[in-house]
Amino acid sequence: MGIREQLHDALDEQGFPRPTLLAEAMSRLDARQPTSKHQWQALVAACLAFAVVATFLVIRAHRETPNPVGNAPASCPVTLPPQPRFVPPAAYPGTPPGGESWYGTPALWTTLAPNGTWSDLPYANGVYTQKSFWWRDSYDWRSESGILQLSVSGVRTDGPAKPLTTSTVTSASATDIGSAMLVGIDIPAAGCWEITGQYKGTTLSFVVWVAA
Amino acid sequence: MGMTGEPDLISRATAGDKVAFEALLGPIVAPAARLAYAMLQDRAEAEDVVQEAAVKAWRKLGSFRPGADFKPWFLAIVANQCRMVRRTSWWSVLRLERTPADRSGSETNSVLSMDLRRALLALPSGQRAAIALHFYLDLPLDEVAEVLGVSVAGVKSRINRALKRMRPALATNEVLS
Repeated sequence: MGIREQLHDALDEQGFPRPTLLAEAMSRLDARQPTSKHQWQALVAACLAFAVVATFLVIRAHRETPNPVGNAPASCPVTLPPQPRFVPPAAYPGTPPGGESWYGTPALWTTLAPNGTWSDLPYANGVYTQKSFWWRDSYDWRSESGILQLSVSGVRTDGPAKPLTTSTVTSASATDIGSAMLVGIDIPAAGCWEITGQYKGTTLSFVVWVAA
Repeated sequence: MGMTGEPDLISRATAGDKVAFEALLGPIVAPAARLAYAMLQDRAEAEDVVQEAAVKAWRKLGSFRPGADFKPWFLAIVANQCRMVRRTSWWSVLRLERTPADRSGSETNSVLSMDLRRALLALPSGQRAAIALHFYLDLPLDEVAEVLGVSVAGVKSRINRALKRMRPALATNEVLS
């Protein structure tokens, strides 16, 4: 069997892509006219001017308000890794990938983003989306039947916002993280958020800055 | 080679005609989604990428080079968008929404397919895109080169390096000469 056939065997899925994909893509187009070359040049010039002014303002703001945690403002008490750092049971890697840090207890743990900031999150339909992973010692997706008992909630602490919503919890597994519980979360506004996970009587919370 | 009437559709779309843009996009939505899926191996993310690429293409039509083909231009946007998703997503995770026992097909084929998918996912994005475009979307090497913005020799080199890395997961040995 050739590579082409093997790839089709491995990747072809019934019903993909969904028949409505083109219509959905078209519905997302804005009414703005496509940008012409001259408009692009004007746009680039405007962006450069804006960048210069913004850089000046950011530098000045940093001088006035020292910011110890990267993008998060001092008014947002983001959760940073405690010292000593939490080390999960031996079956899991000592540190998670991606520059993140483990946080929690063997009964329930998650990860903290570098500098306590979630940045560059995909933004669509008015919400920022993030994948949130949670672990529990001896958790094994094979033995967890039915609906997973993890629930994740979040409240914005620095201003009004609609409630955070979550997807159905699913299981995830990869060689560098082991078995995990995975939930997609939709965050309706940038800002300072307290995220709380609950699993079989154990609760774990952390504060994160969601960057616009 | 562009499809019949493509220059006219591009010209109308550039002037803001969404119907013309839809006519341009229609025939390549499925290949674009398959490319995104081969790159990301996540159906929802792949479909999101195609939608996002469509929005970007609509906004960038003013910079489209007259006389160029729309398909490779759009696939290049899709490939770039996939790279951005890979950068912004958390980790590469195999979602297990169904247990292996739920999956249809013979166990041997499932294992082979899983090995191949993992091997594909482990490739650098440039090599993964080259493999997907040439072997999965059946694009000739010169079109793959156009999408990736490299020479044909560069595409061959990427494919051969990718095949070498994927060899343990492949049932056959193929090399581009």
